[in-house]
Amino acid sequence: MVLEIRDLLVYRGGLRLEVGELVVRTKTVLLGRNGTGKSTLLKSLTGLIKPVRGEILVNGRDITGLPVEDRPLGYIPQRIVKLPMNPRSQLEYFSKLHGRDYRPIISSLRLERLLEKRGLSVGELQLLAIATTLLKDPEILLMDEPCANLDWPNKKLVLQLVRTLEIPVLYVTHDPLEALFIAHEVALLEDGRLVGIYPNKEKEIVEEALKHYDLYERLKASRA
Amino acid sequence: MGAVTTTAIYSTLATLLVLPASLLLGYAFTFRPTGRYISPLILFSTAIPHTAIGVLLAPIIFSLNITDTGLAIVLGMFIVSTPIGVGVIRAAYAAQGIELEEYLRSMGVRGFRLQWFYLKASPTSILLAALLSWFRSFSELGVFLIIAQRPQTVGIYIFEEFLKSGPGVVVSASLLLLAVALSLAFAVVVLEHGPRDS
Repeated sequence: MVLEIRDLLVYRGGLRLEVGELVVRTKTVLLGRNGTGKSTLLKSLTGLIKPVRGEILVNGRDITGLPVEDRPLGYIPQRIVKLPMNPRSQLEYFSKLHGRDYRPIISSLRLERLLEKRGLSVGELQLLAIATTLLKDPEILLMDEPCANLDWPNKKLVLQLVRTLEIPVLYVTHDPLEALFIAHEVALLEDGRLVGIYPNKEKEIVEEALKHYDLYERLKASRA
Repeated sequence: MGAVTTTAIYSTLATLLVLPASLLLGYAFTFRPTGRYISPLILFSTAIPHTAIGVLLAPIIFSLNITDTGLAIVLGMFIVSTPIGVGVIRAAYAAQGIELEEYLRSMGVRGFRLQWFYLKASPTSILLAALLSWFRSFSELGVFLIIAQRPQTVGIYIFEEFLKSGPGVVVSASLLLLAVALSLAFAVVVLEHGPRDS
């Protein structure tokens, strides 16, 4: 499965976003500072913002003109989505909508514990949102800073889950550590322009470094 | 007592009309660009004296030949309380954010089903909108002075009794209404600080 973006031009507010060519086959992280157009690019791909020109192709099919609802994409917005229903009802609703069984997805993501839980943490809500989105059977998953509002233990849960996903993911972040933890390749965006695409050669180094981030666990272990 | 019952009944009817209108308009005004431009047309009635609204409504009421009828009262109540209903629903929907709609659309949810999610997420605000709209309808006077002095509503009753007999007669009625209003206002405060919308 592959997402191709060609010659895309988008205006939003004062921002001019231009992406000559971006191909997403595996886990691509779109890295950029605040206000560089990362979220704008993702919203253009979902159809929530209309580009001035350009083409968006999924597996060779042009989806540029398709309505948001009909695009074969999954989208996790930056703000945590909390639907007004319990986890099981939420999964059942979208299972019915898309004619899929949620149980294999929940099982493969090991999220059974969420089904009966009330008062999910923000991290758990994000995991539930990802599981719910997968019910649509998206060909590509777009994630807009899904860890932006999460503490480290929750962030780790989401990052690890993203790594296990078997579909191409375009993951937006401003955090280099997140980028290096997830990415097969990093697309760097600056001032609305795609500067370049770089393979991630530092995955192992980051994994080692992130162990030091597990301060919660390390402190508990030292006490024991 | 007859005026209180009459006013309560018409306030309830008006609220039943205000609520669906508020839900639709609140959604449009919060999330649709065109909604933002037409919202002043709905909210204008909070900015001008209600006797002026009565004067502006009068040609419609006269042409429909419904002066001094329950229909005129309900219409007047609807006009003055819709902005309150819309305001509460707007705030509730804005708190849910456009991200909810964006996510749902990307999940293939369309049309009125989107609204259903916002409704389900805002039960306390909907109840609050209904309660405040009902209050506003119940307390209206200015519009009725122009378009419907009969059937007699509470505001008209107090106004007429005051003109006829001075403050003495209507003080007890006014105090009773104050007590009822404070009890209901207390209910609103409890609602506002009670269970949050999800």
